[in-house]
Amino acid sequence: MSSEERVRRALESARQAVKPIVKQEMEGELVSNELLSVRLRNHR
Amino acid sequence: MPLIGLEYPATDIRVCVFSGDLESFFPKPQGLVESEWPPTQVRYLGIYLGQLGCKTVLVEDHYMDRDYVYDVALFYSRSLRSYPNYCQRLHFFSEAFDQEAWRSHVVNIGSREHAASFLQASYLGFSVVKPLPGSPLGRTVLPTLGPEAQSGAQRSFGAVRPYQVHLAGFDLRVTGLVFQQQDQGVSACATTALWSAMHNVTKAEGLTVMTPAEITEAASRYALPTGRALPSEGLTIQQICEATRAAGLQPVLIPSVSLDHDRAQLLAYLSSGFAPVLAVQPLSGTGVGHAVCAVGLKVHQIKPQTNPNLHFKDRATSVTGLYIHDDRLGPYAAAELVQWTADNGKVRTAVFIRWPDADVPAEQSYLQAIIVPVPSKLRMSLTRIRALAHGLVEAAAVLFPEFADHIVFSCRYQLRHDYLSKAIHFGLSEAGLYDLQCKTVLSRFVGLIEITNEEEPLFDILLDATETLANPSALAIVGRRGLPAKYHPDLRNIADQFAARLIL
Repeated sequence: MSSEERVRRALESARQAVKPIVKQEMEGELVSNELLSVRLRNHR
Repeated sequence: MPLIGLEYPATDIRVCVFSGDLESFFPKPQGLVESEWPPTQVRYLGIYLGQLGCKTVLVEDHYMDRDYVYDVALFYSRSLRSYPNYCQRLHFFSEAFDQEAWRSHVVNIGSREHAASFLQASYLGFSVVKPLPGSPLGRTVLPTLGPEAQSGAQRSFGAVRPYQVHLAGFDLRVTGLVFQQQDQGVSACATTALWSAMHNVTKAEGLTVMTPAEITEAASRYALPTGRALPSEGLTIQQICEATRAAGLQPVLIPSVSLDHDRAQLLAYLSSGFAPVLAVQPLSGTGVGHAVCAVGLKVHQIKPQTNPNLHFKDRATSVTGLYIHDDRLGPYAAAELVQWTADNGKVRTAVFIRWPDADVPAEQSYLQAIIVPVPSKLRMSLTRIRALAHGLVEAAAVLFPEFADHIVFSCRYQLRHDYLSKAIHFGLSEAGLYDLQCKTVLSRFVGLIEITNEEEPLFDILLDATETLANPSALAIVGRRGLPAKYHPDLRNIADQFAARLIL
């Protein structure tokens, strides 16, 4: 196997291995209308 | 009837001994004081100044404060009571000196340079005292505490900047991030948190820094869910985003989903010099939301990987806490970040805010969202950068086996100039250094993935932050001193896979 192919496979294999983490972080970015309407006004 | 307002106010600069608290500088207003006196923020400030080693306070009797003048113009000038348009300003010093010594510093022309050095060496910042009976603590800039906490944790303050101060002809400088107490006339907590958060980035971007009054106006221009803009009844997250856009910046809104996710975002944005606004809610689930501004990080050891199938560490796991500007408390308040299981079984990120001299948290909240004002051209989201970084670091752990399980990644944004100015210390060859400095096109802000081996950097990947997708936007891979030459061919192959320039 050429060194180029070895590196390509390592990158692809790593991409698959971290997919669940990446998916979880991407899904966390979704913003709801409820969140936009949260009012911040604590007084002290 | 006497002529009112035609005379100029008298002024002087008075020297006072700092006795451990600031209450005497904030006289109690006449009549019924609805909230506690002295205000919590004044007591906090006294304790914080004690920790900084303050010994002397200079009182500047007459000071025109831009932020307060805007408050007066928008709100207080139309009140029945005649509010002055000027403030006092307190300056804090770590050296003891008296009125006579101060006079000598000012008038002895021959020792002017010595006096300037003496004052600068002991300068601890300033605090504006507004003539508002219930909320006197105005614009305040103090230095941060040192880089090491008593617990052994490291403190890191990425969102501070230098402020220049003019006092009796002396140019003084203090590095920190601006803080003030909310006045509930033109600003509530969200306004002051956003005002602090935008202070560093607007200055760096050459934009005008908005006053709290301008922020409240901008936030209320198109949406007024609370019914009226002034007196301020607080802002919604949507209004915070609107005011950020009005300032010429863009709001990055990140819902809080997990402790791991939240600390990765906080580490990246604070390390990049962007101060996030944190929207928090009491843990009890009752009561209204609150906003604070994150200024710094508290970091411990990087934690080991918990997934046995992965072979890298995430630097974000080292973040255990924050330093925040909480307008109900004071500047640089310590806050722990912990995982918390809510009553409904959902796991959340909790924020435990502490007083500087107490071990017991003053308040326990959970994090709802992070809002970061960033420059408009910074388009690539941190989540996309991290998506690329996860795959890259795992591949590096396999390809460079001597670093497996010890290889660490971190992500942030960095100004091109700042990166290039540090490159002389990277251990690059002459050809590599010239290539990076002169022959590589970089965006003004680069997305930076740093791969290290816990002790020293191995390589960096630079991304075009003006792009929206991370993968086709790799500009360069830069070898660092810690990567042995035997791995350079594989690094070249990685660069080819990313269509990036390799710099060694």
